[in-house]
Amino acid sequence: MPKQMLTAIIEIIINKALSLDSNISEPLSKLNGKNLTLIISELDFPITLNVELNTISVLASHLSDDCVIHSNFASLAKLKQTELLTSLIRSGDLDIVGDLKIAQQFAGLAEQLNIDWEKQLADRIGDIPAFKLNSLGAKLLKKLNFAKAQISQDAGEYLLHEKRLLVTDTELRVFNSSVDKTKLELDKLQSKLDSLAQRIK
Amino acid sequence: MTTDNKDTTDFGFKTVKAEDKETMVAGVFHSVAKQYDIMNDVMSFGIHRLWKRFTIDASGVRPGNSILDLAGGTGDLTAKFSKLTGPTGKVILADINSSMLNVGRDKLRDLGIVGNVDYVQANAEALPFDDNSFDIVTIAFGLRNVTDKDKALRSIFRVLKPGGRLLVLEFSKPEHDLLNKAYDFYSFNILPKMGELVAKDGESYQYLAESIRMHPDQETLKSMMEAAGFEQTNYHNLTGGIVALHKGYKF
Ligand SMILES: C[S@@+](CC[C@H](N)C(=O)[O-])C[C@H]1O[C@@H](n2cnc3c(N)ncnc32)[C@H](O)[C@@H]1O
Repeated sequence: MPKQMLTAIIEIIINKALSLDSNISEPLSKLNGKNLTLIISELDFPITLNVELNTISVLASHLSDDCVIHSNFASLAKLKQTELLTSLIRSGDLDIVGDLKIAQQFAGLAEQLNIDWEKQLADRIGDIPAFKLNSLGAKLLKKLNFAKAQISQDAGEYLLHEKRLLVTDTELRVFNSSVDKTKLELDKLQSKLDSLAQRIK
Repeated sequence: MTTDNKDTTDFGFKTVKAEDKETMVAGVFHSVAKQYDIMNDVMSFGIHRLWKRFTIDASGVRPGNSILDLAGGTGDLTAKFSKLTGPTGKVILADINSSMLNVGRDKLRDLGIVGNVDYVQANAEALPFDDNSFDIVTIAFGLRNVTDKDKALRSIFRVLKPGGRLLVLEFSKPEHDLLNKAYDFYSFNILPKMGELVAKDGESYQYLAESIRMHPDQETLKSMMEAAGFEQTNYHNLTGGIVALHKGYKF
């Protein structure tokens, strides 16, 4: 689910930026009910931005054909400057199908938010291996021989999200020690079984 | 899974009278309702959020669609669908359990989601909706709790519009043996403990673990959907098959 992981991260970054910008509500509310789909040449799936209730949902799929932009990452970065829209279209680096006004409104929003994507993405993605997965993951998953690669690959949104604080350190410690206890009990049981098996032989 | 004997069915690993399962399942969800969202995050390391995102992406939702989020519980999918289908669309959050519905209603209200969502207490086996009403029906982590799954699938088929689709997100059978064993250990040793610890309710989580194991595997569920009339059915394994998303169309 790497696509869903990516869209989850993008969604968190955008909405965080929206919540920090006190001048954004007016241009944002004009976009309520509108959506924009990006077909980016470097990605093999579409990304849709949908505005509703003054928040933006990000999907790894098509939503509607109101406005579809075909482009690449480099040109999209330039889209922050709305005045470049026409020249980008002329140069063929950008193709807009559908309602041009929606594209302009989204570009205006991007211009105002001015998100440093490289930094934001690096920060968030860097969080995944570093954070809880180590304390929660390594100890537990290694012990259980859980297919770790699979899990860490998927352990996505929650670890990135503010909600990650839901599991407090104390809870983790209690949880970890109860895992240890369970393991101990199992080991005891195992050796009992072993000695039983021996006697039967 | 329907058992050979028509009068009995599975409740986790126990065999119980078919007419009793509904009440027993209800007991479980009345008991976990309040802690349900937290436990979901804790138990799945938050991965359930990605499973649900995957479901939304696979649903082909369009603005204006009418959507049934069946066994919708605390409304995670409803919240997302509500935004995507917009004011011209409609989402119905249906669940057999009033406690789960109440928690869901309060949560969505807090999120500001009010306009296009209805709440209906309903049993998946006998849906109180007209034929051909919905573009999309989802049932996420719900089907395994239903007593007569074949009946539920037929009922869903009836209320879908021609061209509409069903998405079943449910625990399934891990593809690899190692994952399967580790997962077993996790489900039966860790999960109930976590349930005890966080939700103070180990028994309910023991049931959840058992019910996951009793649920039909990927191919079985696919053929059950086909038997109910669905076409172009397929499934996609997520997290190594711990969970699978099945999809089928009514034509
Ligand atoms: C594990 S929860 C899933 C909730 C939500 N869909 C999610 O993914 O978070 C299962 C839900 O199925 C509901 N349920 C059980 N049997 C049902 C039935 N026969 N008809 C409708 N809902 C049912 C329960 O009340 C519970 O809310």
